[in-house]
Amino acid sequence: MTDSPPFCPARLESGAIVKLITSMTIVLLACSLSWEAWPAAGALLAVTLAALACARVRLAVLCRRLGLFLPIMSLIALSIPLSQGFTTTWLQISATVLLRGVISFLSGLWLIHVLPFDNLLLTMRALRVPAIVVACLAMMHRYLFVLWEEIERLRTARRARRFGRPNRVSDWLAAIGLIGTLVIRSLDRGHRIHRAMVSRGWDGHVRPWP
Amino acid sequence: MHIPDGLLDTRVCLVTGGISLAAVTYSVHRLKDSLADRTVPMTGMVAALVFAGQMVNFPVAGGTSGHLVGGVLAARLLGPWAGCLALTLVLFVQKFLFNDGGLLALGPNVFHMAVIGSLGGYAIQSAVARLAGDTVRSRVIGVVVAGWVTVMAAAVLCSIEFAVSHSANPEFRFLHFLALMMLFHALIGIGESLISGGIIRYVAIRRPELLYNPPATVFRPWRSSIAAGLCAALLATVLLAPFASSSPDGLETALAESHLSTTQPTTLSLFDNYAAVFSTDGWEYWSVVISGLLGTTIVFVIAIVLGRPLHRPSTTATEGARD
Amino acid sequence: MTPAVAVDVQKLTFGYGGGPDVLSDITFQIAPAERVALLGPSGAGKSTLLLHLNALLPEPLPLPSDAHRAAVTIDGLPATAEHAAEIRRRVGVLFQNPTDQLFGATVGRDVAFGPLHLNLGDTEIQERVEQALADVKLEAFAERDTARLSLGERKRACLAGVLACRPGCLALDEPFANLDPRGRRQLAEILLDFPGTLILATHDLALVRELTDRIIVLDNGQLCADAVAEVILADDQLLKRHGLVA
Repeated sequence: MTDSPPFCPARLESGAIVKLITSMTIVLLACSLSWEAWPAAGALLAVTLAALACARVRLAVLCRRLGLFLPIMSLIALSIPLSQGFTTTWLQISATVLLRGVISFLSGLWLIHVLPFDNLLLTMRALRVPAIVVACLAMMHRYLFVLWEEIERLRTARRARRFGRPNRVSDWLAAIGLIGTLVIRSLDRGHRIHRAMVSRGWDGHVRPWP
Repeated sequence: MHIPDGLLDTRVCLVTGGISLAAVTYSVHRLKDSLADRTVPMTGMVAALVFAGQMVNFPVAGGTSGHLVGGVLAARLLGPWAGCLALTLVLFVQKFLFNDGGLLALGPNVFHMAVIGSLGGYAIQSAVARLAGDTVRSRVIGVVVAGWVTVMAAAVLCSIEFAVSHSANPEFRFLHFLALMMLFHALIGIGESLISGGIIRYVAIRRPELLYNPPATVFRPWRSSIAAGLCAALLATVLLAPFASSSPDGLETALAESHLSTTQPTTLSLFDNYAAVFSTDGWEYWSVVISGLLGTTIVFVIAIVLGRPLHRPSTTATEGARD
Repeated sequence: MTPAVAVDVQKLTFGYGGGPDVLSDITFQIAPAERVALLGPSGAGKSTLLLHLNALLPEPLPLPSDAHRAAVTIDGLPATAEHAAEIRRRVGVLFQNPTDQLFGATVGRDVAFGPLHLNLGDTEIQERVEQALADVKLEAFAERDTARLSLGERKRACLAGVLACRPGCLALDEPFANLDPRGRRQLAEILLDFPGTLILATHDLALVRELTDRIIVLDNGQLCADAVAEVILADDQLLKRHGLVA
């Protein structure tokens, strides 16, 4: 495992690869279990919840996240008997899908709590993921929240300028204008960033830079 | 459009994951040709942009709202290869930073949104540009058409993936499922056409130079992107077909009615499904036809409306260091 | 420390994308270690001029065979594609928007970008990063997230990124814009200590007196005045005419 250079202080997270493999294993196991193996699925669910507790994920956070996820997952699971008929087979399959989805969701929640994104990028580099992919990912991560804030500001500004009754057509036009403005501003920003990079020696060749 | 874990069989996820990996790897290999040293800042920025754009609500009915998918948009801004990578990064960040979306399901999701959406989307846009001439207006029309077609293509592929996942279940009614998927996604596709087309028209009016211009290379990217998209789709169908078991009862009846031999080898059973669609008189057949026809007509109208002549607004917004 | 850089601009004329001229017939020379202010109202062409000094414009740069057509010469090197990398090494530009210039995840990593692309060894890169952060009084900020900085901290972090390349000339585009008085003071003190050539594009007169000896006035893309700082600052009529005082 390559150690990061001294000016890149974040050390490679110990056991990052182990954490990735663990999460993947849990998901693989959960998705391979059928309805008959529900005790094993239950055990897997318990293991995942225990892992979340070990990672000190607060109950409030867990409930909030589950609260957002469960309705959507339930709807998707329900769509199966809705389209294929409410027979025992399909209801069992629906329940299995729901259980698998929840286990996968919880294991993903555990993973994002124990593996910070920065360390994930370092791990990817150590795993020989092409440098340009890691660089694009790092760039995306850096400006994600900048763009998010910008879109919030644009939204507020537009809301302040809207008069009259909002209807669906004007909502759609406003949303399109919002994203369109963001596209123009972001592409211009991308060009300015490129300029700043070139000014400091960038030539397109990705060096091992965090 | 985001499939969670648990819905599709593990093997299906792994197979589509493998195809996605191959397609994305190829895209990364071709990246440098299209954007040179601008690749890293522009791809990162468009990925962040699509991510942010996907969070904007387009209210539909009741409390539900539609959202931008973004594959076609990314392809129009960056070209096929960087567009494909950008969408892959969006799905990656959604999973590993926000826990939004499945892990195994990354395979099919990347396949539908990055490979079919961006690579396939660019191929369709290029086809439109070839037919209608490579003008800014034809690019807007290309985005409108590609938006709908890529969503429908993804729906069909998703139906196949789902069918293969449940092929062991004799009660599975594939045609029924396919019909519902296509009806539902015909609407989603119209939404994507309107949204992506509207955004690109907005940008094209103000800053047409921001739309991707393919560099003049010997091997034109549209040919290779069509090839890549088609290969991926065909590969998926071919690789998944052997997992399909013998046809369920409904299909056998349909096959008997259409005079197809019931001793077809197992590997062709999925293709038989399609043949059966065109030979039954069930509502499934008509709903697929209607969703196809109606969808095509509506998209045609959208293309005409959004593809009408572009007039620059009287005050042009100038961004950047124009000091 | 790179020796201070000489700048020579001869009849520079430029318009974006073949459009109307943003700069017309600009000519001036700056001697090594000279400290010059580029004054002018918004839209005068200051930013565009600075981009030329960093061989970022015109796009594309003239080929080596067209060296005689290059309007900008840095230390005797004409701004062609051949010398672009070396010119960018010698002239460090601080752009207007610090967010677009701080593209690393942490301050330390961002400052390391320049030295890394100079193909230096890890130890030397580390030394330069530490030195640059010390120069801008951000020693404790190496591991700070670039997204969580105040405007003043962002500007200083960007400056550190440029200083880490040890340029012989610093060109700054509106560095004091939107800064509070403390931020302006902090930045001004760093610039006072800079030993190389200094080019300060601004329309802020107060700090010009303190930081520079010579003023070039730009308005509407044209060079309107070029003289010692005291002379220009005493000429109220000139300042009013070019929108530098109310």
